[in-house]
Amino acid sequence: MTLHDTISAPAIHALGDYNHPSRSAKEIYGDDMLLMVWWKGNPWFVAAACCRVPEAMPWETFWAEVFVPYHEEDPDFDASKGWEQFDWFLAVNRTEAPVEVAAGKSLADLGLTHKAVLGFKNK
Amino acid sequence: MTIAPKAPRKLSMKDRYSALTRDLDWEPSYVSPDELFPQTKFEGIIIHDWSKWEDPFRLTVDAYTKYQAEKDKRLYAVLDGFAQSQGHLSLTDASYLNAMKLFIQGIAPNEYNAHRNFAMLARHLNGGGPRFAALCQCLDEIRHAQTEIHTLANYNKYYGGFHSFLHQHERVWYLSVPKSFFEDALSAGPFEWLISIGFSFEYLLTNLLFVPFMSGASFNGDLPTMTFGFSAQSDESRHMTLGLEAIKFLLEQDERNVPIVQYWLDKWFWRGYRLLALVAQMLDYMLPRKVMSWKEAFELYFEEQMMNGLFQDLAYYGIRPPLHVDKAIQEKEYVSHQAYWILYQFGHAAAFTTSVPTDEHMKWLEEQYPNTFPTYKTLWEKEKKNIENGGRHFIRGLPQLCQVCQIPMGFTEADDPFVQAQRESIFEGERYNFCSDGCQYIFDHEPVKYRQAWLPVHQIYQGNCGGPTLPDVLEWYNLKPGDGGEYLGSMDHQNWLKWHGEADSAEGIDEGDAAYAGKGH
Repeated sequence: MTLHDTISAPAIHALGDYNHPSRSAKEIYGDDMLLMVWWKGNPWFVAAACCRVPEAMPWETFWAEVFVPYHEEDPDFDASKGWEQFDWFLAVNRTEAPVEVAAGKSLADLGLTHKAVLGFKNK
Repeated sequence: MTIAPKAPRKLSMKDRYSALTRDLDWEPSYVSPDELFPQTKFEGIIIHDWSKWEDPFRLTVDAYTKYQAEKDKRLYAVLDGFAQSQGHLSLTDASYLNAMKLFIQGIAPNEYNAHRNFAMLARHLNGGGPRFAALCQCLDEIRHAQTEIHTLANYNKYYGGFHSFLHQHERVWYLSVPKSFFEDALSAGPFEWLISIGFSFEYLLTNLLFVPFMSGASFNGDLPTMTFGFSAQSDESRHMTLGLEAIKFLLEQDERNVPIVQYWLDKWFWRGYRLLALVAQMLDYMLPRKVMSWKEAFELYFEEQMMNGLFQDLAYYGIRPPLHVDKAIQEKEYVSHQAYWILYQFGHAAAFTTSVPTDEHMKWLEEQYPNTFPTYKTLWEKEKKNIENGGRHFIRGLPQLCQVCQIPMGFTEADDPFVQAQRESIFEGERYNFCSDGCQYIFDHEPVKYRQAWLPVHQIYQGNCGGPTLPDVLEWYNLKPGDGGEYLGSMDHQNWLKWHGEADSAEGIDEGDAAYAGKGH
């Protein structure tokens, strides 16, 4: 998926050529990506989690092997209620675009890309 | 009749100063000024007349070394006396030293960085006056690095968290915040350095950094650190004067400098302010005997002195207060709570300890922050129950980091204390995350610089930090047992009780014993 730039390249004031690559570009991670997982409205987790996950990881695997072990640290989280207990969305600045999570879909199928913020909140 | 030889004429202080500083300067004859000073054009700053620089202080090298030697003598006498009399036992509590661990890990190495860059300025500025001023500050900064390290070295014999401060400064996640701040400034041009460190850090924000640490030392029985603070105080006054002279000089030279300086002010105010989140939590959470709250310090040293004083003077030059200052003013009510909550949750990967505030401490916080602390108190109450049930809130993974300030993204929207701010920009097809409008603004103006950020979490995931597991990373950090985690039951805590004859009450305490942690201290 191609992301459209939100900013243009500003003028650079430097003594010589100055154009160094990102230290966290997608290519560095191969078939994986970094995904931010953010429980909106729950300050128990002081910040969103940053996970390295395969783009092709099925949603149910992500839920069982990545999401639940991390969030079980909150004594009020009940994994047995499943992912249906939350509304899921893609957070972009202050906007939320709904994400329809479902078993069998990969993270890439859900539209999640490198360093995207997958938000969720209690229904 | 013999005539006594005429006594040599004694120069006035002013003439002597000129003779030993500016008068030693010369015009180059066999190279051009641009060849001799290649770094003072590319930033776009225009200087018409370097001689217009008003020397902010009139010290010569011999006078400078004499004063500094006298101060050093006094400081080292105190250090010796404190060490010989086991002065560390008269601190308020071993937990006080968490503030000093943060100081030596985060600040002392940056004193050395400041020394490096002022040495560069002492070579590369065109004018003899500013070059000499930079030379004096360069010497101050290395003296500060040395005296801070010597001052705090005594504690390394008895307490965790001091042994590898330089190694950790280069590697540990929370220390990438002060490290990246200074390295951003080091990698800028000489004029931006003057505004970033010389003015924004040393003038605008310095009282918010040094006064809390040194007053904290004074209130908590740390005589050596307090003496170091006094020893550095006259230097800091000179640094403030230099910072103010630097900005006025740039603004007076050419009006085309004004927008460049304004952008640097906007940028470095916010970079410095974000760094001070570490000081905010230190003041409100790490000092057993409180000095003042972060909110009080911010109101006194920033709002009153800078917003109501300095920026009214700078308006004459067409300079307005920094962008996003309104957000900083809003955050004075809650930034310390959020910063400590970050450190508490990731305390297992830190070289200092944290703990749940006691009931008395929470009462003080409520008095200081009647409108906001009750919200955070609910979190601490939940954590107390968690501890009673055998838990201790250590996050089981890694956090999202801000691309610019590098702090875990725990700062909230101004209108909702439970919703962390999420900002992102996309540049050349790649997404970048930010904790605030202030950090996003900086990135959007310099994406090629900030996309190179060495973000600790991303580096861990790339396999560059010792290995894939938490123990691998902690070993790479050179964290030793007792350095971090929960304070209650820690090595420092157990030793403190033993040294004060309270060992019986500490019986059965194991490091990180969460059940004990719930009893308060």
